[in-house]
Formats: sequence, C-alpha cells, structure tokens
Amino acid sequence: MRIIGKIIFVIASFFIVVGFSFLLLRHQSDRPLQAVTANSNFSQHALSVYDSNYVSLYHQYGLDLPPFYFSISNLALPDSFKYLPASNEKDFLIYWCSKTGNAKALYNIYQSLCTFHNESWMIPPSQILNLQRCSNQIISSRNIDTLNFYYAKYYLLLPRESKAFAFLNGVKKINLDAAWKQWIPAFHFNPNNQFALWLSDGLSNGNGIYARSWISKNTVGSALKKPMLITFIITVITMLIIVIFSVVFSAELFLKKEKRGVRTILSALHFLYSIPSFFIGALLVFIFANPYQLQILPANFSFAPLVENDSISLITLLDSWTYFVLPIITLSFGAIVFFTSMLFRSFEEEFSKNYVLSAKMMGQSNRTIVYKFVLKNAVYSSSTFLFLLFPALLSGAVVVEQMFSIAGIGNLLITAARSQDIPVLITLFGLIGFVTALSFILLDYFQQKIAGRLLSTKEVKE
Amino acid sequence: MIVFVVACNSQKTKIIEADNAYSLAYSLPNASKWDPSWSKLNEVNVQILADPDNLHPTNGSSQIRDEVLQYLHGALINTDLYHGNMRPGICEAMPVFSNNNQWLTFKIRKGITWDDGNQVTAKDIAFTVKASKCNLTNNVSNKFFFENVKDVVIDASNNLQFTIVFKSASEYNLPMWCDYPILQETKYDFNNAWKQISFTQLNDSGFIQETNQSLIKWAIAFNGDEMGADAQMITGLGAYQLQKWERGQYISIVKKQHHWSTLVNDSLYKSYPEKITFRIAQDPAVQKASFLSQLFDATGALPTRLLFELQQDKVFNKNYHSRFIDTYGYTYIAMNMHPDGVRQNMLLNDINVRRALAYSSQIDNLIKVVNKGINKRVAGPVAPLKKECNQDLKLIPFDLKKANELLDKSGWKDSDNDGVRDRIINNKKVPLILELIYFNTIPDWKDMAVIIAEGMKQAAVMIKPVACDYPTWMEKVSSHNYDLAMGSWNTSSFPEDYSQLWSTASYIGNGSNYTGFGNLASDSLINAIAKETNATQKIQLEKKMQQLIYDEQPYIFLYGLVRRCVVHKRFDHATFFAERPGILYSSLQLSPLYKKSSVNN
Amino acid sequence: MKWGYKIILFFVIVAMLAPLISNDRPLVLISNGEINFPFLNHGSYAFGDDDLKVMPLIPYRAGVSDFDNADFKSPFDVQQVKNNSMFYRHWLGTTLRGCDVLAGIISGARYALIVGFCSSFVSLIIGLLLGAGSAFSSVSVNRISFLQLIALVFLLMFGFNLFLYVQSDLLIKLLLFVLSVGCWILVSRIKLKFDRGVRLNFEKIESQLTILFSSIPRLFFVVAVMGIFHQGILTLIFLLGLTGWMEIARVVRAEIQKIQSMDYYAAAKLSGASWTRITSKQLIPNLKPLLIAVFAFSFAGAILSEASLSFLGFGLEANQVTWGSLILEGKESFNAWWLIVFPGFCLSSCLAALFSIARKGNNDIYSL
Repeated sequence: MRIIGKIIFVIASFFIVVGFSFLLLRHQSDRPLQAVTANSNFSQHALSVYDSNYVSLYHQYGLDLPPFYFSISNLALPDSFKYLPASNEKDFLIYWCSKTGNAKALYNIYQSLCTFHNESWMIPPSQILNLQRCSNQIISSRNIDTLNFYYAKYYLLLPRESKAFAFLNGVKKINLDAAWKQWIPAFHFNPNNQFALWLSDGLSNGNGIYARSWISKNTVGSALKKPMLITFIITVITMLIIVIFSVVFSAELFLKKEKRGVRTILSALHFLYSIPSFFIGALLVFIFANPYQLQILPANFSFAPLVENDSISLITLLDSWTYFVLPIITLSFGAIVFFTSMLFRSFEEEFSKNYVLSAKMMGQSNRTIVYKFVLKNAVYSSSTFLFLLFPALLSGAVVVEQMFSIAGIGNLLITAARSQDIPVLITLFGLIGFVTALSFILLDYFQQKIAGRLLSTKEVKE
Repeated sequence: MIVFVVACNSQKTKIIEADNAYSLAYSLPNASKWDPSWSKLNEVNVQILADPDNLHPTNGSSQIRDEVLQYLHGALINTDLYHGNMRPGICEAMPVFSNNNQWLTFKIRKGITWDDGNQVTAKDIAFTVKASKCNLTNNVSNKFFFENVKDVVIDASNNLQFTIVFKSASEYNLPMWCDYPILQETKYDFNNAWKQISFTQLNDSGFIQETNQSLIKWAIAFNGDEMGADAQMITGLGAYQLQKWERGQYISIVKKQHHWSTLVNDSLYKSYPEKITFRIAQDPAVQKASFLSQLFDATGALPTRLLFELQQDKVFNKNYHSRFIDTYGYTYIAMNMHPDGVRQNMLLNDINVRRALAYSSQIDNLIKVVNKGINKRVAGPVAPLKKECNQDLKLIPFDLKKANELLDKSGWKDSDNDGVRDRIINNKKVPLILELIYFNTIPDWKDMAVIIAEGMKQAAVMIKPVACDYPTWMEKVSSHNYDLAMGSWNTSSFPEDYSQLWSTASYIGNGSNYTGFGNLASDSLINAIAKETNATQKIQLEKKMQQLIYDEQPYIFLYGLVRRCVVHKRFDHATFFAERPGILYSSLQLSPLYKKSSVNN
Repeated sequence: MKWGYKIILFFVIVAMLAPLISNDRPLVLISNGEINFPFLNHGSYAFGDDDLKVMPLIPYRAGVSDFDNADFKSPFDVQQVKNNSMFYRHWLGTTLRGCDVLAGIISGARYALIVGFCSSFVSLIIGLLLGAGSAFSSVSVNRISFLQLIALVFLLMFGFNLFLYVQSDLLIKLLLFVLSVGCWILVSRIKLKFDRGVRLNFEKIESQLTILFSSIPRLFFVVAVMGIFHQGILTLIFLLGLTGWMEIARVVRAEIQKIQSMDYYAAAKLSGASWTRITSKQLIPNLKPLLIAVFAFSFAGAILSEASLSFLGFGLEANQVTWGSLILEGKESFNAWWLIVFPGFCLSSCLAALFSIARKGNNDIYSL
C-alpha cells in the first residue's frame, strides 16, 4: 500500500514541478506570440494585413486561455481574446491605458508615436493603418495574461446578454442575475486551460503550440527521442564503470593500506573529490584531444557512428567506443572518488565485526574475506547513494555534453534555453524531475529491504 | 585588390579578373601528389555554423538555407559566380526585354525534366509565380518582387516559351529570377486550387484571397512545416536530393541517379560528389581539431581568427587550400535614432551623442584582436570594392578628445564624478547608460561588444552588453525596442538597394530600417536613385546618399566582411568565389591521383 | 585554526580587498600637494609626470583589455608592458583581449564568494525555518477547530477575490480586509463541544515539500530559467538559494529532534526554563557545529553551480569575470593552458577547503 501512495506522490510531484515551471516559463509572454506567428501556416503578409488573423491564431493555439484555469470565486476569467474589438483599436487602447497600472507609460508611447509621425516624417497614405498597427504592437508586446484579465474586467461592464458571457455559460452554468453572487467564494476548475492543453498535446503528439518545438517545429517527443537514448547510454555505462572501478579501487586500497603510497592516496582522495568535472574535462581535452599535444582520442562526439546511424545497435556502439572515453572519464571521476572512499570506510567498519574475525580464525586470507564476505555488506550499506547517482549524473551530463558536443539531453537543454524554446524546456524539465522523483522512491523502497536484510544477517551472526 | 597570399605547392593561383578590377574567382591548383592520409570517398563534408530555419522552396530567410537549396532546386537564371552577373539556368539563353522593359521573354531548354520524367514547361513557371504572388504564402522576403508581376503569357505554339508581363519597369525585374526555385505544378498544387485562379483574379483587389477556401487549404499545406523539413517533399530540378536532416547535427544530400544534367552536354550543369553533408560545428575548439584531423572537406564558415591560426599550421596547409576574400557585407552597431522616451531614454536622438559614440569606438583594436587585422574598416554602407562607393568619406578614428568635446557640447557632463555622464531631462537626472545587444551564437560577438563598451567607458559612457539569440535580437530591433544593436549586413555585387535599410517606409512597416534614419529628402533621393538610368548620374546620387547617411550617423560602421574559403586538396578544379556561397561544392572533383595510390598500395 | 578555514579566510580577504589588490587606477595620487585616492571612485583623474602615485600590487582590473598583450600571452611569453618593468607583467598570462588572468582570478574569487555566500544564506534561512518548524510542530500538538479551518479557507478566498476583482481604492480594500479578519477572530472564539478539530501536521508537509524540491534538477532548472529571464547576479543568487535548502532543512530537523530526545533538554523543560533560555542555552550551542557544516556544504555546492553555469555561458553578465568563464575561454582556445589550470586550481582548493570545514563540523554526514 505504501508504495502505491509513493507512486501517487511521484505523479503529483511531477505535475506540480511541471506546472510550476510552466507558469514560470510562460510568464515570458512575448515568445508565444513570436512562436505563433513563426509556427503558423498563415502567411506573415496575411497576418500583418488582417489583424483579426492574429486573434484567430491565438484562439486556434489556445493562447487566449489562461495558463492555469481555476477560480476561487463564482466569477471566472472569460476567454476574451476572441471578442477583441478589432475595429476601433485607438479607443480600445485609450481605454486599456486608463485601466492598466502603467497607463502613463502606454499613453506616452502612443503620444510620442503620434508626434513623431507628424513632425519629421513623410506621411504615407496608409498612416492611419500604420498607427493602428503600432498600437497593436504595443498591446501585443505586453503580458497577455494581464491583458486577458483587463479584457475580462472590460467585459464585466458590458450588459449581461452580450457575447462574452456566452462563454461563461459554456463553462459552468452560473446564475449571474444578482451581482453580489459573484463575490461568493467557490472553487471552479476549468480543464480548458493552457497547462491542460499542453499536457494533452504533449501526450498525444498533437499540433498545438506546446506540442511542437518552436525552433525545429518537430514534435517534442521526436525531438527528445534520440538525445534521451544517447544520454541514457552514456549514463548507464558511466554508472557501471563507477561501480566496478570504485569497488576494485577501494578493495585493493584496503588490502594494501599499510603501504605508505596507499596512505597518501587515501588522504589525496579528499582533494580529488573537490576537483569540478568540467575542469577535469578541459584538462583531458587539452592533453588527449589536442592536435598540438597528444591527439589520441576524439573530443567531438558528433562524428561517432552512433550519432550518424539511424538505429542504435551494439555494433555502432562498439564502433564508437573511442568517442566515449573522455566523456565517461570526466563524468565518472568525482563519483569514483566518492564511492572509493566511502566503500573504504565501510570496509574498515565491517572488518571489526565478529564474522570477519571468525573467518580469519578459519584461516581465510584477507583478500578472500574482502571479496567474498565484506564486499557484499559494504556495497549494501552504501547502495543508497547509487540511486541518487542517476539524477546526479544527468545533471553532470549537461556540462559534459556541452564540452564534448554530445547530442544528448544536456545539449538539447542548452540550445533550448539559448533560443527560449519553451515546450522543449518544460518537457525536459518534467522528464528529469520525474526520473529524480522515481529514483527517490526506489531508494526509499530499497532502504527498507536492505534494512531488513542487514538486520537479519546481524541476528544470524550473533 | 590585394588579397591575402596563400601558400601553394608549385603552381601559382590563377586569378580571373572581373571588369571592375576586383577578383571574383580564384581557381586553385590541383594537387600533384596524393597523401596517404587523405580520404578516397567521393563525398564532401561541409562545416556550417547552425541549422537553416527551414528548407522550404519559397519561405525562409537564412543563408544556409539558400546554400543548401541551390543544389536541390533549379532556377531560370543562375548567378554567374565567375563574372559577378547572371547566366542562363534552365532557359536556353538570357531572356530579352521588350515593350519598354515591361515584357521579359524566356525560352526553356529542351530536355530538362522533373524527377518523374516530365518536361519542365511554362505552366510550371506560371504556377511558381502564382504561388509566390499569393498573399497566403509565407514568403516575406520575395513578395515585394512578385507584386510587380502582372501576368505570365504562355506562347500558344510552344509551351516552352513564355513572356512575363510586369506592372512597371524596375531594376529588380531580371535579378528576381536569379536562383529562385521553380516548383512543379503537379507536385505542389495539392488540391488543384490554382487551376481555376487566373492572374487577372490575383491582381484584382476585389478578389479576396484570404476568404477563398480552396486557397486557404492549399496555403496551409504549402506553408506547413513538413514542406520545409521532409525529405519526401523537398524535391526539385537540382542534381541532388535531400537524404536526411538531423536537427542540430547535419543535413545530407545525395546525387540523383537519373538527372537531366547527365544528358545535357554542358560543363556548367555537371556535379561530381556523390554526397554532400553539411555538418554543424559551432565550438571553435571543435572546428580546429576537426580541420586538423581532416574530418571536414570544405567550409565558408570558419571564424577569421581561427582560419588565420590554421594557416600558420603546416599540417593544415598540406591538406587544405584556404584564402580570405573581401566581400561587400559589413558589420555595424545600429543606434536607435528615435527612442520613445518610455522604453528607452531620449539619449540617441542627438546627433552629437551618436557621433561621440562613433569617436569612442576602438574599431582598429577590435579588428586587430578579434579578426587578426584581416578585415578592413568601412566608412559607409557601400563596400569600397564597388564603383559607387564614396571615397571622400573619412573613417572615424578612435578620438576620445573629440568624443568628450561632442558630449560636453550637448550637455552630457559627469556631474557627480562617478564615471558616467548625466544630464537633467524633464527635471530628472538621466545617466548616459546604453544597452548593447549582440548575438550569442559565436564567442566573437561577445568580445567585440566588450571591446566597444570599454572604449565608450573611457568617454564616460556606460554600455551594458546583453547577449540575445537571433529571434530575440530581431524582435527587439524590428520593434525599435533597443539602444544599440550589433549585427552584420550582407549584400552582393548587384546594384545597391537603399530602400531596405534607409527608407522611412521600411521603418514604419517594421522592415530593416532599424534605426529610424530618414526624412523627406532622403526618401526622395532613394526614389531618384531607383529611377535613374544614367550610370554616371546614378553614381553621383548614390554618393550623395552615402554622404547623407555618414552625416546622420545612424550606424557605427565596423568592418567589411571577409569570405573565408577552405577546400581540401584531394579535390581538383576547386574555385573560390567572392560572391555567395564562396565555393560550389557540387563542382569539386575527386583527384584522379587516388587511383594510382591504391595501385601502389 | 584548521587549514580549511585558513584557505577560505585567504579567499575572503582577497575578495574584500580586490579593488586594493588589482586595479588599473592608482591607490594614492599626490599632485600639487593634494592627496587623492582615485581607486575609490570611477571619475576622471589627472596627473603629471612628476606626480607621485602608488599603484596596487596588480596594476590591472579584471576584464579590461590590454591590446598590446592580446591573443593569449602565456606567463612565459615575451610581453609588451609599460616601461618593460616586471611590475606591469601579466604574471599568469592573458586572455584573447589581453585581460590579466590574475586579476580575473581575483574577481572570480569575489563573485564566487558573493554568489556562494548569499545563495547559501538564502537556503540556510529557508532550511532553518522549515526544519526547525517541523521539528517543533512534531513535539507540540497543534490543533485547529473545524469551524476555524472553514473560516480560514473562506477568509483566504474572500481576500483573494477582494484584491483581484473589486475595483476600488486600496484603502477601502484594506478596510474590508481588516473587517473580515475581525470576523474570523470572532468566529474562532466560538467553541463547540463536538468539534474536536484537526491536527496540523506541519512535519509531514515539510517532508513532502523537501522531497518535492529535491526532485527539481538544480542545474536544469537554473539553466532553463536563466535562459528565459535576464541574466544577472541577483537572479542567480535567488535561484541557487531556492534550490539548495532541502539538505539544510532535513539535517536541522533531524538534529533538533535528536536534541529534543536528550535528557538535558527534558530536564531544562521540566525545570520551567523559558523558551528563549532553552533556545539560547541548549539548542543553539548544540546546533552550531552542524549549522557551520551544512552551511559550508551548501556554500560549496553554490560555488560549484555558479562555476558550472558560467562555464555553460548562463552565468553572470558579459563583462563580469568568473572562474568558470575563464575556464570556458581556455577550453575554446586549445593552447591557453593557463586559463584552465589557474582558475581550476583556485576553484578546487576553495571547494576542498569548504568540504574539509563541513567534514570537521560533522563527520557523520559529510565524510567521504
């Protein structure tokens, strides 16, 4: 039962994380506007001549909907962009100016535009139209959410029979005969919001504005597919290497701990752990992939056969092994140091226990004791960290992928953040958040199991 | 023009002189010895900087798109890279003007076929014109030219001959056909929407295209994303077809098996490599390593500094031909001449401030540091390579004394001694702080912005460099919501078009006039230049226009662009061109020496 | 003093005295019998040939170009410096624009410490509040009656509606708000016999919140948000602080609960000591070493994140030099090892010092 509760929690936290990021990223409302015009199948020309096309596009992509749609009063914000009075922009602008907090600023822009056109400019015949377009642009460059909100207020002043309230009726039958009823606290949720739209878009690979990358115009799913696979391969190989190497290193260091060289290595481990991965990566590139020093290993992952081929098979994976060397060393260095010293400590702890003593008395060599008995318990006690390793490696992959130009998730994140590609950013974000939350749950589950197991061994031994 | 000398093995580089004494093409010597490390594949790996916006035949604006599309599509006329003018493409000869330069008659060459084996006819041309003219088509950059086309009259007896009727005579009537892709009617007219619509209907203002349902259906399909990305959809008359486009990685195009050019006996139409791959490499370190280990065969996109460094390398010179060629483009810092007083303070509307900023820009140092001193400074919007360039315009030197003088004169003084000048505007103390936006694509822009900011800091003007991606830069600049913007402008050897950058109409319509330069006088001058037919008169007018721009200082002109061409020596008959795209990758022939080397092995 | 503190103290002193150590303006200028200190402001200053001036130890400012020594001069290269004197030499080489690397490292130390300290301070405050709150709420029983709860929910909703939808002056809104709060107080006075109320389990809420925030991938989050919003030091500090408090809250809660189960704590409580006395005499002294440890650990995490972000190009503004941005420039040009080695060494030693402080503070949690 507990695990089911946890899973529910993961899904809930996924939604909260994604919703939070969605709200945060959607705050920048200029980009959807650009994206909608760049993404549309309407021509730019048609858009610039017929302003109502913008409105219909906005409606088509659901950008006129609020990001989240829940209201705690009987009054819901209407989906008002549809009913924008396109005929008389100027009046509307003035009205809007008087309503916004920043009315003076807006009015100044408008004024300066007017004087500017009159003073030093050759007045074209289409001046009126251009002025309207300028004011349009002012409106469109403002925050759409606030705009929606003020439209809503504007339409509240309209008679109840007007079109704007038809929408409200469609959402929820509320009797708005008495004005006071608006202020009664109540909870309304409307699935007709941008977040819900994005979720359904993303799941069904639809044609909505949030289902496709704003830059590459591909569906987010297909844009993520190959990067995810490449990052997954690299992370899994790195994890394997971390486990193998740290076990071998720690066991060998423990067996030879009397030697002076080993002592210095042990005290150096603390310092090695403090070296950031990108510093190591830059040094490795400088030494091993530099045409002026030693050009042994390639530093550009994009030429690997793995990336070139459509399908990823074992053969292409093996073919491109040289390309994996430097990234994996960079990615695994810190973790290997961490696990080595941690395993070393747990070896020391375990070695003082009774079962080791009895094994020693039976004449077993130190090496067999370490590899046969102690290792198992030591790995169990530090395996909790293994689950946290996976999300940590995903974060580390951002830096490493950027350094070796690996077309993985990290690289995708950087390019998406540079070009403000919000659908890809949010999806990536939710994905990694989900993986992290999942690994937390697995950790929790595993910890219980291990606790039980260690207890039982202890009982048996004693 | 003296061009940078490249180390060559034995033969000297043959320079083809153009009529304006500026070298347009450099044919390079063939390799005399085959190096065992060279690849024997008949494929060209081209390095590019970024993805194109799309590969749509008509809609799109990026340079890389044009570069790729020229191998996929055919055009009526092509650019003659050797002589800096035009040559016939799929038509038999250059077209002839008649009826007061308003009629243009073409004749299509026989034997030019689409992939399905059908002959290209005048119907396809008519369809192409209709599709480009349609208001619903998303081709912003070309719509202006096609609005002037009135009709396409197909010869009754010969369906390969046709006459294009223009509304008025214009200097763009011929160049507009240059490298413009021809679309196959049967392929692109999806729902036969254009069968019923004639040119008279298109020209009729009473016919509202935006409400025609079949046209809307067609436009939504034609403007769709698949049309600019799907390998199945992107086919044309070119010798190559798109094989795969992996976003952020590469675009590969392969040679068609059966193509009309194999039957036509003309060396101009021949193409040799089996496959051309355009690969993205942005990181300078990656570019350098890749070229030193011969992963790329050709490029025009290396940073100037990097190519200069590579040319000092013996290994690189052994494997590659490379050369810097001066071009007509330039980089600049645009200044917002009409700040609105709300989003930006009223700072740059003063000519003295603009001139002072120009005096406090360390452009020489910038060129020395960022571009190794290879690029040359420009004084105005027209490259010094052109005849019409006004040579009287003096380069503005880095002169802090003069900058301080000008700023003091217009009332900007550092009253509180905090290192930033200020002035009282509307009873409020306004410091002279400006934001400089630049592209975040390559690191060079950042260094340039910081160097410019440092120079202006010495004149007690505070500059805040802010990095933007291209769409944001474009959005800010075209909505006039910026102070200073660093960018670059490309032009060709064709006649200079002043209306795009300097006319007021272009400012109001959110065109390329970012600064707000212009008044009644300048607009009428631009019109006069466009209408003038006398060559010497025209040059006089153009020089006057340049003087006008120079005096107003809407831009700080930085330096002229330089083409950086690199080709691997395993290819014979390589030629570098001054015009875009610099290298024709399809004309590269794998050196026959490789066969000998394989015999020896 | 332990070596970890020594290194951090060294970096702190360097960072605080950065304008005195590396500056392109003279510290003291004596001209015409007047003594000026030009490094204090940014305004113009003038001096003649026979004026006396005292330059800082490093006569360069971070990020300022030196065009004579541009294009990656290594520490051993021939450099064209003023008067050919050793004083004006770039001891650790230069960048592409000829910026002094040593001055850059000093500026990097400044930014690393500012970002690290401020963001971990933000995390510390959030973590302390939540951790201590949940620890205390698990001990004392917090009950709220149903009536009170319903009234509270209604009050919140009504207040929300009030501010969103009522178009009137702020004064009237405030008046209405005060009125409704008064109503709530009145309502909560009413006590019903059958209303046993609900227990507010703050501990559970806090633990779930901790897990929720832990599942936000820090680097992904900061890169995404920095890409969308304006890049700058304040945004960075806020974002790093917001994503770094979970460990602190967890550790603080566990530690306070441990202290609460101790005998001396119970004794103090039984003897009737006041809350302030218990806090000052029992809690804070016992928490102090642990707090130092968690603070050092989150400090290190923030410095590492800042460096990674600068390395990715999402850090501070273009003209602010940090360790990460120096390493990035070194990586982009193949030969400039001095741009990778020196800042990398400073970063590693700073992190090592902080980790050692954390380890000294609490060997159980932060041992390797």
